[in-house]
Amino acid sequence: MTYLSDDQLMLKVVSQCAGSFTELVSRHVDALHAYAYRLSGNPSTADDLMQETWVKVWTHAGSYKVGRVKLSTWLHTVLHNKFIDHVRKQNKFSRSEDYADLALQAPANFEPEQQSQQQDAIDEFAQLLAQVPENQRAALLLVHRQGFSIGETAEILNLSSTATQSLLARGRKAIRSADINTRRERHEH
Amino acid sequence: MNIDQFLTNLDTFGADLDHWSDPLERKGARAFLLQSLEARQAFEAVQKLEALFISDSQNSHKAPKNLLDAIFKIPQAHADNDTVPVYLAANQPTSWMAGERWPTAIAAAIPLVVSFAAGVGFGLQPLDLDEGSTEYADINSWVYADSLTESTIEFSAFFPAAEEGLDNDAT
Repeated sequence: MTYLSDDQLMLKVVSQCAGSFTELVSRHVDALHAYAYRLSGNPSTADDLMQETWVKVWTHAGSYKVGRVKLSTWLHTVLHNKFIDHVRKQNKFSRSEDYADLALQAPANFEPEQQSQQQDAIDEFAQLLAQVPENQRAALLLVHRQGFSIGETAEILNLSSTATQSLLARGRKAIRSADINTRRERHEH
Repeated sequence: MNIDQFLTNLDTFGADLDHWSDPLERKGARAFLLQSLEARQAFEAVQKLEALFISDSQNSHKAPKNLLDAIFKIPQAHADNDTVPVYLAANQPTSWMAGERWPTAIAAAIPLVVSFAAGVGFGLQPLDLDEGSTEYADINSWVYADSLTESTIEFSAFFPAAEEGLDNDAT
């Protein structure tokens, strides 16, 4: 079977090809779900966001302009907009209470002891993420976890590159301060 | 380099010093890291954060199976919606002509037809005015905005005192 690029598949999705849609979902669903989960901090919210995102992809495939941005950038943009709608509905745009539910897991290919250490680090990571507002968390996740450039992140967040840099800087600063405070508290105990 | 400059750059560009925009600042930062404990602590915190993100991205996250199944059904669900016929109520006529609206339509049309027939029968015509005897306005009383002379004459006819005042102002 011939390999089709994301753009070629999207062109087929525009003409309502369900097989191409399935192939696109298979390629991108895990990365998108990881982002949705870490951003919202809640598995069921992440699932809802994913469903809404893929419905939008199916029903508005024509709004993706081939060559303007990469498909993964566009998919993250759709997802991020769905997340903003969700947060507005929930009326809690500062710090999500959902985030307490975030449970990330260490990779299974580690040795047990190593996995335990890794799990501690990941728990700490989840706690650190919970410390920052959603928009800063989104910028940090997109750049450092999802691997987008500043320009692509700016596109997804619908901000200028300068504003995105500023968001990242504030996010790093917030996490850095939280981390230093945590260490200080541990040291005092 | 002082601690504030270092922290600003650290927050802006991250813990990978090679990504810092200014080569001189990169060099200064390396030197500053050796002498400042606060800088080192902050640097390690950002480095740890970035390492955690990378470690998390290497963890092969899988979307739940039931979610995947639901997403795969989206084309079918939405294709069905597109082809869903508009169901009619059992007693609803398929065309308004076959329904119960005929009597209403005829009742509304009767007065119109009767009025038209009466008008034609009595020989009523539109008003026929003589040419030039307009009843709407006397054209001689019009004041033209582009005719200062006529405007002045009209104005002074009613307000002679004001006309004198205008002359004074002009001088």
